[in-house]
Amino acid sequence: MEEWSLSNQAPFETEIAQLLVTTLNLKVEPAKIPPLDPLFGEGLGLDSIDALEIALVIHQNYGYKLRSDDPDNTTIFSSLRSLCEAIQKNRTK
Amino acid sequence: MTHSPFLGPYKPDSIVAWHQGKTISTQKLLTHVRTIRDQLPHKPYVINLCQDRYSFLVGFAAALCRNQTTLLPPNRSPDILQQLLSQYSDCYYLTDGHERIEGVEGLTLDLDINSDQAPMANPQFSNTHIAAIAFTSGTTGTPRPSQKSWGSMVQIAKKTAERLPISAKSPVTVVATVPHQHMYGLETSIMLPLQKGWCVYSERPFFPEDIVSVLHAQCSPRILVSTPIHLRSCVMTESKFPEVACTLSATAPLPQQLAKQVETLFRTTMIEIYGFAEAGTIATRRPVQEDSWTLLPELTLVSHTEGYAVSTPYFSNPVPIPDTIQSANPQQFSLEGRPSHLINIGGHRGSLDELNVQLLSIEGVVDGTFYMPEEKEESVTRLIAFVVAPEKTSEAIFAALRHKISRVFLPRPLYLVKALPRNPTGKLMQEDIETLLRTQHDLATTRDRRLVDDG
Repeated sequence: MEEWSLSNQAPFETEIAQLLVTTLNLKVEPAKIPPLDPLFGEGLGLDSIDALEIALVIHQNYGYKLRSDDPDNTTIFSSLRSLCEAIQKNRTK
Repeated sequence: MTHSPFLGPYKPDSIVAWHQGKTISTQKLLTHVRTIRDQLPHKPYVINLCQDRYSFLVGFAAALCRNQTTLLPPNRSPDILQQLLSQYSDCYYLTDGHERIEGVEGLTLDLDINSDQAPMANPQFSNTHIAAIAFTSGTTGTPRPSQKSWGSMVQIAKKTAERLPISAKSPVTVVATVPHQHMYGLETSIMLPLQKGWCVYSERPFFPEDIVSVLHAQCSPRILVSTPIHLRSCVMTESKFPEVACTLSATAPLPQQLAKQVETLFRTTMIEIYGFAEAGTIATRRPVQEDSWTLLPELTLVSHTEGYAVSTPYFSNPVPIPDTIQSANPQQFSLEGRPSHLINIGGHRGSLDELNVQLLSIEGVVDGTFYMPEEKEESVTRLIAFVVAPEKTSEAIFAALRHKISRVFLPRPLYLVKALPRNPTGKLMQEDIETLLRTQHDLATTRDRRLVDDG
């Protein structure tokens, strides 16, 4: 049975958290990123350079091309959980 | 000539902008400008917060009509805005959305105007009027001002246009992925089209897919104003882009290989722009054909105490060039890099020395240094920090740094170490820091493996 991690991440959230930490060189344990905290601004402190890097790595790994005119866009980057939900909804691989 | 017109070519019915999917004619733009002009408060300075490029343009022009100066903060953080307001207290703000500045008079732009007034003539502004003051955040986030006269902005736009391979008689649309509140964006996505009679594209596409759809929606010829970071993202997606007559890049060096890929992907001529906050654009090159930069017409290099400065017809004194350059003649130069303590991350310039001062000022930090690893072409390279702080956690130091330095310079990652490998004279040698980095990296990798193994 798959276990939920310390911060209540679902397994796919842990996978994406690991991807973010590796891609962006963050000094946090992936499993400790709270799934509902904001990714940008105060939360992980990501910036717009990171947004492009994240978009690229998500496209490469899951075939989903992010767009900013997506009506869901403000929600997509609001937290790890919403980002994961968007990837799962739109992934092609 | 003491004045220059707001619009280079003035044709009342020509299209000057695309805004929310509709075209804007010269007449409509001038009607908007006149209406907003009459609503502006009587103050000398304005912070134009408008997110929409066209709304910003209307506010900028309206302010010029009232002899006001637009302040361009490096970002919207409350700290930065408060610092600006302490120096320019007689100031109001313009907004096109929900952004507000606490305690300051504000005006929300309403462009839903049905005016039956006769079209306003093309306004003329004094060349010496300070149209804008651009602020660079520098290392610590303390804004440093650079005054931009209307005359200099007009001249830079016209001279830059001479370098672009655009001869088309049909309307050219300028699409920009960069914000218009920074000088590069203001010069290329607003001043350039205004002075050449080209069309301003109002929205700002960000992700590669946004750029694809915006470019497809615009008729050829198109100009794309962007940065190496955005262009790299476009090259790495598998999307198909329409033909772009000319692509501009600035803010950071564009690797030649990337320039070649961009020329193929967009079937475009890739022109790189060199400039800096104090002078704006000063030179261009086509990276696939040349390494050296050619100054804009009528600009010349002159010797300066610490290297070179650029002499222009529109600045009273030569402006020092912040990078180390080599010059074969007064019109051409090659970049030899920055002095080793200066850095540029995603277009933000900073100084390692100043960053280290901020790091060492944190309570509990005994010793520490920022380090810029070797920069890679395939991604943006961030700073690393090594910190000696026996009583502190790396999270606490990171949190303290967040209040002291610009976010783009925050270390990725920050390593807590027992001591820095200083030599007997107290200096940190590059090879010793690299050894320390390898050790820390290996430690982190081992720990990650252990975490996985322990599952």
